[in-house]
Amino acid sequence: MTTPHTDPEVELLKAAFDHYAPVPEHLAEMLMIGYHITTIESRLARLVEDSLVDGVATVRAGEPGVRFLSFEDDVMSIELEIDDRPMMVTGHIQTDVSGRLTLETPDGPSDVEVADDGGFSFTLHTQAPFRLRFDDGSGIPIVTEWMTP
Amino acid sequence: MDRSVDEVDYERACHGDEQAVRSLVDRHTADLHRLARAMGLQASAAVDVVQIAWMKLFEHVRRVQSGERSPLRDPGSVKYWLTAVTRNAALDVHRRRKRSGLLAERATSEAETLGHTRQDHDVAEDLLWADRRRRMWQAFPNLQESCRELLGLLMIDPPMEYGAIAEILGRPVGSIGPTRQRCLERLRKLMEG
Repeated sequence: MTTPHTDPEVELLKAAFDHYAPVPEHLAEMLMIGYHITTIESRLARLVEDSLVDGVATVRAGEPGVRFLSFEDDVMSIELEIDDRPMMVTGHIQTDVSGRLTLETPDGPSDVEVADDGGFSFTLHTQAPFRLRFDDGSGIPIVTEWMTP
Repeated sequence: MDRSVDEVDYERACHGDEQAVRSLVDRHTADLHRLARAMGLQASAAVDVVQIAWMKLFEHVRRVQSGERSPLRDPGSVKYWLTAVTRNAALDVHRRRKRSGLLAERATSEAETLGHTRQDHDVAEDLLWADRRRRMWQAFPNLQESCRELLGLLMIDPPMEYGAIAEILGRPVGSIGPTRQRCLERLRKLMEG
C-alpha cells in the first residue's frame, strides 16, 4: 500500500493545530478515569433505533434539537429522547424485573430515579459523553452505548 | 514499528496492564483530537468524540480481559480503529448539529483563534515560519469539509497508509493522492488570498 510521505505543508498544518488547538492538559487523565469505570461485568444493549441515523418518525423526534434512541436487551428496553436545549434527557424503561438505573459519565456514576410507570428524566450538566446502566442484581448489568448530549 | 508497538500495548492492555492502556492513550490521543478539530468540531465537542472512541476501545479491552474474543481483527490496527470511530463520532455530531438547525461548527472561530494566539511565544520562534503557521491555521476552516477531513487523517503520526485512509473515507485508494494535492493547493491559495 502507498504511505503518504512526510510533507512539509502537512507538518506545518500539524504544528498549527498543536499550537492553536492543543490537546487539553488533563484529557489523558480523564480518559484513564474512564478506563477505570469501564467494567467487564456488563453486556451491551442493542441500539435498535436512532433518529439521527434512521430519521425515525416519533412524536417528538422530528422536532429540531430532539434525538430519539431505543435500546433493547433480552430483559429490558430503554427509549430515550435527548433534547439539546437544555441538555435534558427523558426516557422510559420497560422491564419485568426490578433493578437500578445509573447514569454514567467520565466523571463517575449517579443514580437515576425511575417512576412506577418506568419513566425517568435527568439533566446533563456537561456535554461529556454518557451512558445508562441497568443492574437487575443478576451480576451482569446491561449498558447502553456511549452517547453525547 | 507503529503497528508492532500498538499490537504489544493492546495485547498487554487486554491482559490487564494499565500502563499499556496509558501508553496507547498517550500515543494516539493527540492525533484523534487533531482529526476531530480538523473536521470542524470546537474544543469541547472534539474532546467528547475522542472520549467516545476511547470508551469504546476500553470496553473492548475489558471484554477481552473477561475472556471474550478481541473484536479487533488485527491487534495492530488499534490506530485505524480509533481513527474510524473518532471520524464517525465527529460526523454524528455534525448530523446532530445540522438536524438541530444550528450551523456546523467550524474548525476555528475568529475569537478562538485570537484566544489561542500566543504572540510572545511566536517572537522567540522563526517569525516567517510562525507567520505561515498562523496563516495556514486561519485559512484551514475555509477549506471544503472533505478536504479538512482528509488533511485531518493525513496529519496522523506516523502517516497511515493510503489504503487505510481510503477505507475510512469510503473512497477509492487511487483518489487519495490527487485529492491530497488538490486540497493542499487550495490551502496555499487561501493562505495567499
